[in-house]
Amino acid sequence: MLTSHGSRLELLLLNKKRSSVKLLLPDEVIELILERLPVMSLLRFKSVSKKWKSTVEDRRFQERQLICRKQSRGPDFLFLSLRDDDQNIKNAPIIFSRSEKIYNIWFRSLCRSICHGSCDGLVCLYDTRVGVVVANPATRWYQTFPLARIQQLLNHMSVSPVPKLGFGKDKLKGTYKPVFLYNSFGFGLDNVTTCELFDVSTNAWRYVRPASPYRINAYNNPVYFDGSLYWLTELEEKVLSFDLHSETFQVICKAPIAHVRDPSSVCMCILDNSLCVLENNRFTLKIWSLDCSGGNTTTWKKLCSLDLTSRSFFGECALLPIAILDKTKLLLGSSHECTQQLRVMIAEAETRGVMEEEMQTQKKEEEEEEEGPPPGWESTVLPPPISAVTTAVNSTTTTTAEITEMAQMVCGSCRRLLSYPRGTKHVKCSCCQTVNLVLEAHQVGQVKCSSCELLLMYPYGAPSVRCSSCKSVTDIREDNKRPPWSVQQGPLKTFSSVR
Amino acid sequence: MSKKMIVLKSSEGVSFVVEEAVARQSKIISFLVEEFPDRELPLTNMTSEILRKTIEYCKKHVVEDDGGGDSSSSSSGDLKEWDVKFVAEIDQPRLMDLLMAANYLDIPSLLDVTCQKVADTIAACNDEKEIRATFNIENDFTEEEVEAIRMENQYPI
Repeated sequence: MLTSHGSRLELLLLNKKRSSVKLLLPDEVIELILERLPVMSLLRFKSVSKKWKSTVEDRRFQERQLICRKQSRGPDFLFLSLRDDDQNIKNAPIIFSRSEKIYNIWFRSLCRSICHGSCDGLVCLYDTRVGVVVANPATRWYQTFPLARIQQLLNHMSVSPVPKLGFGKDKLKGTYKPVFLYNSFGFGLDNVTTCELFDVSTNAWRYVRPASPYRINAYNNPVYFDGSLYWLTELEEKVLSFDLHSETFQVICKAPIAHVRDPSSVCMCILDNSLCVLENNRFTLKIWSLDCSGGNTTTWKKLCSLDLTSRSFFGECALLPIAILDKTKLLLGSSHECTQQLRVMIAEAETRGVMEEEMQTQKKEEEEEEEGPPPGWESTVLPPPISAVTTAVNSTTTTTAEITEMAQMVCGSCRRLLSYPRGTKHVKCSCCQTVNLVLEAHQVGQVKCSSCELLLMYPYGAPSVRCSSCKSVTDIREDNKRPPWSVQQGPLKTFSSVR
Repeated sequence: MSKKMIVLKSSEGVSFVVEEAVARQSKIISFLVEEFPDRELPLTNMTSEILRKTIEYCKKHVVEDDGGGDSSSSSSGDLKEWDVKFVAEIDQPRLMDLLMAANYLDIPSLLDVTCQKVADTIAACNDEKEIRATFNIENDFTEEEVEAIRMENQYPI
């Protein structure tokens, strides 16, 4: 009896102490705690008290919260897939290394285009029927802006490539601005280019004059970085910037590439907090980053060059670098146009000039192996069942001995990456149920179709091949026979020798 | 080499003798030591228990910050793990006291760890009522106001 009484007294004291502590908690400490919460929790818990509500709704607090969340964890990557039906696909995040998380989110929207990159975690979608939609994937908040003039024009004519929207933030005023910049010629407009900007204060689009004095590479997506939007110009390949505060265009420097024959093979991206230009032909991916450290002079530094030849299954999709992880790994993404399937991969490469000793030795090895296969890749397909991803990642990171036992191939129909025990003749895809014939590198023959010149692959040793495209049959003779793929590629290197 | 020692006194009047390097992780103590050398520093708003905990944290972190490698120098990963364990062992009211102590003494890393722990606790709560109960916060909203906030959060995408 006495003990229970005693414990109750203790409890009472504890409660009393609690409330006294709570009263003493200063506002700035409450804010410090709330800064560490994710956005969804903050929105839900606004209803705790008036103080909490006013804190969460305070703009300065929101800015601090954004910075705090950015600092406290690695970057989060978001892949947005658009669909116009109700089907709800829930995707769990995939963790690649340390704290980076990759989310693949399906968004129900009538829009068909997405601005590349993000600004403060906001995404911007656009479509000639809907207008422009700015959304926050964390809260599912969104706002729709009316059609730009160019979007109205596009409803009556078809132009390729379609003008692309840029989205960024005026850093001084803190306002977000969607911007269209397009070459005037195709639309019968005056001047070299036309620029339209959405003004939130008037809730209307307006022209920016003067627009860019140079025609822009219409295949490029504009890139937002540090208060400015960037484009590449056509032909002369200059880097054009648009300051979102002063709303002026400026050519900042020449791009590191010249005489590009295919304008769709070059583009820009942001890696490691600097503007990068990349050239992506079917065989190599070269990336340069802009070094502004030398004051007014800007120089291009070659970041890396990836050999894509032996990765034939990635060949047909445009690869876009997303981020550098752990200073040595390059995260790349690509979206297959037909299947809308997203692929994320990590390339390990020398990504910087300044490296630790360990990395320098690796770099040397790679230089010696210029003709060999590219540096180690880890690849996976999204959206996947989680267990499948872990096995895919594991199988590429385990030792050489285990790798010889398991092999990987890409499903010929849905292009999902499949794992199978080496030696298997057929592999059935878990996704689309297609049965794939397994061809190891030494079993793959190549021949050009006698009628349409398409490069065909066939089981080495077959007497004739039917073209998948024009259906004509090509006989394999001595004059059109090529050595097997493995001979063309050079000897197969193990993972350990690459690393 | 003899190390300079500093005497800290808790609200109960218990004295703690700590190395200067350990105590100097607190910006306030660092300032006070320079202003009033060779004096006992009274920390009247801190119980012995909380002060002991704070000193334990500072001791652990001063070894790591030295980086000399002579003592048990573990990697920053281990230190993070230790921090997590350190706050996990403390119950809610004492955690709040420790947070207050870190805030008062101005020890940024300890403040960071404790704030994160409290934030994690909040994030794990199911609804606002649970938070109010855990942290003893008074509800100054009417039922309608709470409902209005709930409606705000229902975005239609």
